[in-house]
Amino acid sequence: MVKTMKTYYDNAERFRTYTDEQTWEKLIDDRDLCALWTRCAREYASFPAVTSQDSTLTYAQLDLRVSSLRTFLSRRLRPHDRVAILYPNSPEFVCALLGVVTAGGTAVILPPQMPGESIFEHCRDLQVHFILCKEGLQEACATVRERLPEIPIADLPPVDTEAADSPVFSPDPELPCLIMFTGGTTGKRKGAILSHRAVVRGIMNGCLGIREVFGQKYLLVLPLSHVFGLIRNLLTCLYSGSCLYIPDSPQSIVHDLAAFHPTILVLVPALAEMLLQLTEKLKRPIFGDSVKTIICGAAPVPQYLIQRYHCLGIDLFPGYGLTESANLVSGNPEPLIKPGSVGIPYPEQELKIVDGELWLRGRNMLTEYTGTEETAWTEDGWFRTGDLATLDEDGFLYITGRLKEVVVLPSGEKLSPAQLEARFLSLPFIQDCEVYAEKAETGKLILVLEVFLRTTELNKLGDDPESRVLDALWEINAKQPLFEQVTRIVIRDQDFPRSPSMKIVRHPLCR
Amino acid sequence: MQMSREEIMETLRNIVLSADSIGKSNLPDLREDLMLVRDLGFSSLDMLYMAVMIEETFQIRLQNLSELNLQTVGDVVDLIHCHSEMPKEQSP
Repeated sequence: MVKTMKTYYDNAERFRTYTDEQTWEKLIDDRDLCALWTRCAREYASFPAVTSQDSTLTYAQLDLRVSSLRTFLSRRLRPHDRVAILYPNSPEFVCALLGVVTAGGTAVILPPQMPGESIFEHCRDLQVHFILCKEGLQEACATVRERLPEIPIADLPPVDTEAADSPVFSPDPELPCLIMFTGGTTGKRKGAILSHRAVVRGIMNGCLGIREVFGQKYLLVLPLSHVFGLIRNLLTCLYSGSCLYIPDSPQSIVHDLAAFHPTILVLVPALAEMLLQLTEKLKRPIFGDSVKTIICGAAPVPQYLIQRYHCLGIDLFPGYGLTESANLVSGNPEPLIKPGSVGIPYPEQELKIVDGELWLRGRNMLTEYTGTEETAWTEDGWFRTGDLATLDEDGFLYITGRLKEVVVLPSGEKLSPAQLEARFLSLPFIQDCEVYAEKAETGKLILVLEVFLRTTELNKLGDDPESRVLDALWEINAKQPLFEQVTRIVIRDQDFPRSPSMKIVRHPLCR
Repeated sequence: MQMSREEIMETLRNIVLSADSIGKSNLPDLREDLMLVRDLGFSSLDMLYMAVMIEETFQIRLQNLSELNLQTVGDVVDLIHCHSEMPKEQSP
């Protein structure tokens, strides 16, 4: 039975109030990703687009490479053919993506660490027609080569400027642009098919609510095979005439921050935490004076991070999105006034909350899944996210947990672990935590709290810090309603096991 | 001047100690044969943290860790040792 329902629609005018008029006028709603790239390559021709340790490509130079690849592919593919892209973070990835899409293909984004058997299964199930693959990764395609020999596998061909004459495809905006795989914490990965319209909306969303958007400098930290990296970090960067630095290796980040002077970083909370620890361990400001903004999402953002970065002169903005929503659903506009929220829904994002669960509909949403018969849609096209959420009176969204993680207690009361965890996470020395139910020896269901401590904060607790930690945790616990009180607290000496997207791999649900 | 393996191990031990998410119980006996993931509980984030600290502490530049297949503490020591070697024509 539906208990609550709120419907929320367009926020375009609301975001306009947070955006200066000059920036607002630049927000062109391109018809499709092909038109978007064509326009940006022309408007920003002489601007740097992609930089690596070896070279910098301007928008015009990148477009020349894209055009050359497009011509190569056009001679081998039909419109809407699916092309798998298997590259690490690199200028080659960018060229491959834009080359495939502007040739009229659908880009199937494969994570570079994907095992060969999975590559084969996805290529078979998705009826991939071509694989663009870095030469060094082609060994992973051995199973494809053996069992699907009809699929050509090739690295980017040499740039042929004389043959770069194939026109940019003009697709139906409703048709597929990208296929991206969702995180794999629960079973086999599913492919989310995103249309051109959805991708363009996702790209534009990244420009809303933040003052300094156009002509910025981004340092790529996240994998381009993740929707947050691909859309918010790469494509919004190109849309805004900004420059993206792509490191050769992730561990050179301290060196790269100093050399490139980025102004915006796009991070998941675990990476933001690690960079903060590096700042403290190295005892120097690794961000320099250039970084002003961090866009943070893909997992709950502890308020500790927002506060600590603010002390460094950096504004960290939490947001919320999914692979299925072409990345951003909501974001916090500048200035940040509700750090516990994931912001306000972006324009054209329809949402409602049904029995506590967030449902989404809108132009940015996926067309369908591949690789599964699972359906998460209602008859009238609402996508059921599986996330628990609330909206406050000002329209700010709060994610309070996952539907699948809700614990139903013997009393019939329902507990959202994430909501309870948020209260313990308010302590600065709690880096992460998990609340779960387990059966005690008596057979009774009890709640357990496991915490992982932030050691940089423990020094401030004086002698016997662990006792002080436990005292503080029990004190918070005692203030909760009886049915939400934990019976056991465990202090971990190692971090939680994490998924590839760095989310905690939770204990299985205990009933 | 090239560092000895013992010197490298001591500095590496301090780096591993400083990584918040590493279990402390194994560290008094940090040995070269310990597996990074199985014995020390390294996550991908820990590997990244360690790599950054190695670059900053030893002032060397490493190639992408994902291409190196580092399994044990000894593999890491080998890597640092190799990068810290002076070119033969410059050795005393």
